[in-house]
Amino acid sequence: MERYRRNIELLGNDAQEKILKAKVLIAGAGGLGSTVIANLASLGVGNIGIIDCDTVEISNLNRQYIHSARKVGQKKTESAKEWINLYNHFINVKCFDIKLDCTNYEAVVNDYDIIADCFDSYKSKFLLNEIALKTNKPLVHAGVSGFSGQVFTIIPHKTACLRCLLPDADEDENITEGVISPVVSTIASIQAGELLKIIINTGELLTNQLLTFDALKTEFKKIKFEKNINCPVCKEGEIYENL
Amino acid sequence: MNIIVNGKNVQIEDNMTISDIVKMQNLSTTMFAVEKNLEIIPKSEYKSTRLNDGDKIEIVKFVGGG
Repeated sequence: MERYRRNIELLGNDAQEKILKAKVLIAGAGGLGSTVIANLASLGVGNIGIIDCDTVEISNLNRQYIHSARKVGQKKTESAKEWINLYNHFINVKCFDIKLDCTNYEAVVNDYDIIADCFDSYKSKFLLNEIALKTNKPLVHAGVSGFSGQVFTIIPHKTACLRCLLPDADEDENITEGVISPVVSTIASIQAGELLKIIINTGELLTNQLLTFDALKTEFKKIKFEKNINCPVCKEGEIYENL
Repeated sequence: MNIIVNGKNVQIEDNMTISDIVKMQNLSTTMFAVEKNLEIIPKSEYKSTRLNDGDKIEIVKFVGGG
């Protein structure tokens, strides 16, 4: 446990035990995923699942620092697993080199207690929101683009979900802006902090509030919002659109 | 009366609503929420939410990259 001595000084032995036993599914091993993976591996999260169907591209390396130039062309899941094994080989890592969809999500999600949304499209984020609600897994959402990002946490059926926030948003919208490492890693570090608080059941979660970050102004804002009683996704007994 | 929209002073007519402010923005995206004084206004309340002098409105862009 010497490896985690500084964790334990702050969090205590019981919390570290919870971290070592935790099972976290990271949806996306790109920019957000890189920092979330690095943070969870540092904390000692014992079981990490990684979903990604992409391979490492040279243009990823401006921000996806767990991958490297010699990994270009390799599956991102395998590249991420190699990074974790080098950094902390006690972690049990499972790779899911798949595009998550309505036919395969159960087999992936069921083994994990918490999900981190590090996906890179609106469509995949809204799908993951539905999956988290249907499987009753806490979800820490994050999104980033340009100089902006946002984070919030969803406790299924208790707190507001992504659809509560954006009831009519068009999931098929594309993301065209550039993205840079300082913004991505800031947002992902906050996301990892939320995951930790869920694991050890401490502090206040970003539930029913959206944390936004504007890197140009170096400005964070916490904006309150409510669970939508008419939300098409999390309304009791409603049919999920994509599942 | 005067309100602040995305950090800028805007003069508006009395009885204007959040819905009117959103229309004025000519947004090309559906990925946004509207914040009034640090609270998100539910979309179902845009038409009924009247503005008061000094209100601070932000169009919060929701970003989806990872």
